[in-house]
Parts: sequence; structure tokens; C-alpha cells
Amino acid sequence: MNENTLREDPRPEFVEKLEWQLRTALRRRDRFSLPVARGASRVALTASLVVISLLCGAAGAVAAERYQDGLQRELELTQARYRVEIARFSLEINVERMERVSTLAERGLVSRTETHGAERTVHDAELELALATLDLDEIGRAGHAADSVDAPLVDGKDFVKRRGHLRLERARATYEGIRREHEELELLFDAGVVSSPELRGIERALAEAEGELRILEERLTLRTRFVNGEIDAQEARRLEQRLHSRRRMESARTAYDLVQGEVEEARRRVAAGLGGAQRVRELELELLRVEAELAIARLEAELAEAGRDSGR
Amino acid sequence: MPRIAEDDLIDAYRASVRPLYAWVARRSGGDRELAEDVVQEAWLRAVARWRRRGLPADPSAWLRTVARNLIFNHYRRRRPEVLEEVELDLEAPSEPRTPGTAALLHWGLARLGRREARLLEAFHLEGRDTASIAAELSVSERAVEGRLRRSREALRARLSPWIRDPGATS
Repeated sequence: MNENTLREDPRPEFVEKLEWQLRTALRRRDRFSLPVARGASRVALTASLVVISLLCGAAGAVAAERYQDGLQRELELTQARYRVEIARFSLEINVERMERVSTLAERGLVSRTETHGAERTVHDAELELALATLDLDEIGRAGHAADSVDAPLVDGKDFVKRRGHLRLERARATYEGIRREHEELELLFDAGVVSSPELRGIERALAEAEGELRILEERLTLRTRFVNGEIDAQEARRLEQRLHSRRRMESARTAYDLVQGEVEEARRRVAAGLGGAQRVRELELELLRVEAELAIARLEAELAEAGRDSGR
Repeated sequence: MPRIAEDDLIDAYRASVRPLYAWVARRSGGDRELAEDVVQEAWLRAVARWRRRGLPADPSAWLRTVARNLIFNHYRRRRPEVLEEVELDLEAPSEPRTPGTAALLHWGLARLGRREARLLEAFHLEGRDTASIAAELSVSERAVEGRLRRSREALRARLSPWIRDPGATS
């Protein structure tokens, strides 16, 4: 065996390890094909039992209703358990992927953007697991998960607030990611590498992420005020509605400003003989759409305010 | 969803992992670490895709194409770290003898036009003769020789700071 043959032969441990990885990847797929069939047969069983109960008259109807309640609870628990299991498994896969991407990045096989993407995916998967676990806990205690701002505490635990904090964490991570991307794009824009529509797109995404962050923070404050007894359930719901209306209006206003800017630039390009009139027409149509969104969002916000005033 | 049986996949793996590894190792001038990374990544991508679409008609060809793209992506992003002049005969079809030569050759190819790079890749890295390349492109052998000559000049210009080229005219 010459030097060249040795060099071209893979290490036996590498071949074995890769075979194991491939088997594992395939078996995971098979494992997840099972619940579908079991779920389907459970639905069929539930349906036939309910039909039988209904056929047994009034007493049967009451029994069927109780049975249905029990099944409903079991259904929600099963969904929540599977959601946790899927989230846990998804996290495991994403961590493995991140490790692989990091190794490849060290070797220069993948870009830094891909590494950041893999890290973000792991973070998202961690938060999804935390949210799914919270839901399972609440369903186990209360029979269902309630996420409205005026939902009661369950066994002294504030599940709404805990979810709120997790979502806030996710929104912060999203905002940070977009902010970094925005900074990079601004540099590229200055260097003439990216166009202004691309920059406006990321500006819109940034504004959306910022708005989402703010609404989550305000919703948490609202929840605290409700739990502390500063506002009643009705007022809490009204204020939450107001928050959402304001958010929609801000979002529509941002979109309107950005599209208007694009229309103006496209018109300037046409006037300078650099662009086609068709593009201007398309943008004008888009502008009309966002104008409609803005007008409706304004009216909805006014309606929410009026409702609040009349309720006092 | 087309299902692939574990046994079929493992059979395909066992049949092709060594030839694929050898193919990557030859292209990378014997860079074991790179060869393992590329083979592993190509197979993991294969499982992800084949589980959705089923086995392709020619799994080995599919894997080689993915591996080829991974190798090019790897070298495209790295500047060649050449401390000494490398001897590279651009006139003769030969596989790179060292990781440094492989890196330099791929780096240069990645900076040529697609057609020029493909021609030189077929000649240098796949060891194909001008007759078979001419048949694939449906042109005369003479035309292939002409294109090869021009492509070599373009590559030589890219690599000139780092190579000692016995075939160079100057």
C-alpha cells in the first residue's frame, strides 16, 4: 500500500461514526411518524363513543358531556405533552446542527451569517421549549392554558406573566438580530452595494420588531396592574385592546412612510430617465393599500378609545 | 412522502463512502480533515433530501456533485496561505499533490468564468482528455485545445504570484 492509497482511505472510526449518524437521523423520522396514526385512531374512538352516548337519551347526554370534557382535557394534555417532546427534540437537533456549523465555520466551509443563523435557531428552540413546558404545567393544573391579560392565577402562579417574559426575551433577540443586520446593510448601502428598497425593507422590519418589543413590555405592565388589583378585568381587556389598536396603527404608519419614500424615489428616477413608469404604478398601488390599512387602523384606535370612555 | 428503508440507505452508504472519500481526498491534495468534513456534510444533506424525495437514480453522482460544491465553497472563501512558491504544471493534467496546491488551484478556478473553470476542472482535476471533453461539449478537439489554452492563461495570471510554472512561456 503506497502513501497515496493510505491518504485516500478514510479512517475506520470516521466511517463507523458517520454510519451511526445516518442511522440515527433516519430513526428519528420513523419515531415521529407514529403519533399521527395513534392520534387518528383516538379521534375515531372519541367520535364513536360520543355517538353511542348520544343515542342513550338524556342521561346518556350528560354522561357524554362529562366524557367529552374528560377527553377534551386529555386532548389538550396530549397536545401539550407532544409539543414539549417535539420542542425538546427540535432543540437537540438544532444544538447538533449549531455544533456542526461551528466546526464547518472554523474550517471556512460556511459563512458567519450561517453560524449566527444556527445560534438564533437554537435560542428560538430553547424559548419554544420553555413556552411549551409552561403550557403543559398550566393545563395539568387548570385543565387549559389561558393567556388573556385578565386570566386568573393558577395555584398562585402567574402563567401569563411568565409567558410574557419569555416572549419579550424572544422579541429582544429578534430586534437585536435585525438591528445588527440593519447596521451592516447601512454600510453596504453607503458603499453602493445594496439598493434603497433593500435598506427600506430592513428599516421596516426594524420598526416592526421595535413595535413588537414595546407592546410586549406594555402588556406585561398591564398584567402586573391587573394582578395587583389596580385595574379590574374589564379595564384590563379594554387597555389591552387599545394597545393592539395603537400597535396596528404604528405599523401601518411605518409602512405608509416607507412606501411613500419609495414612490417618490421611483418618480425621481423616471424623471431622470433611469427607471420605467410601470414600477411607479406598482408602487402607487402598494401605497394605496397601506393608506387603506392606515385609515382603518386609525378608526379602530378611535373606536377603542370611544369604547373605553363610554365604559367609564 | 417517499420512504427510504434504513437498509437501502446504509447499503448505498457502504458502497459509496470510500470512493467518495477518495475522490474528495484526491481533489483536496490529501487534506484528511477537509475530506472528512465534506463527506460528512454531503451525506447528512443526502439523508435530509432523500428522506423527502427518495433515493436518486445515481446516488454516487449526486453525492459527488454536492461534495464538489462544498469543496469549491470551502476554497472560495479562503485566501491561499502559500508561504513558498508551489510548482504547478498547468499544461499537464494532474491532481493536486498537496493540500496547499489544491487550495491554490481551487481558489484560482473559483475566480474564473464558469465555462473556463469547468474546462480546467475537467482537464486537471478529473484527468479527462481533450477528446472526451470535446464530445461532451459537441465541439472539435481543436476548439477544446484553444479554449483550454486561453483558460490556462487566465488561471496563470490569477495564480502567478504563488506558482512556479514549468509550462509558462515567459
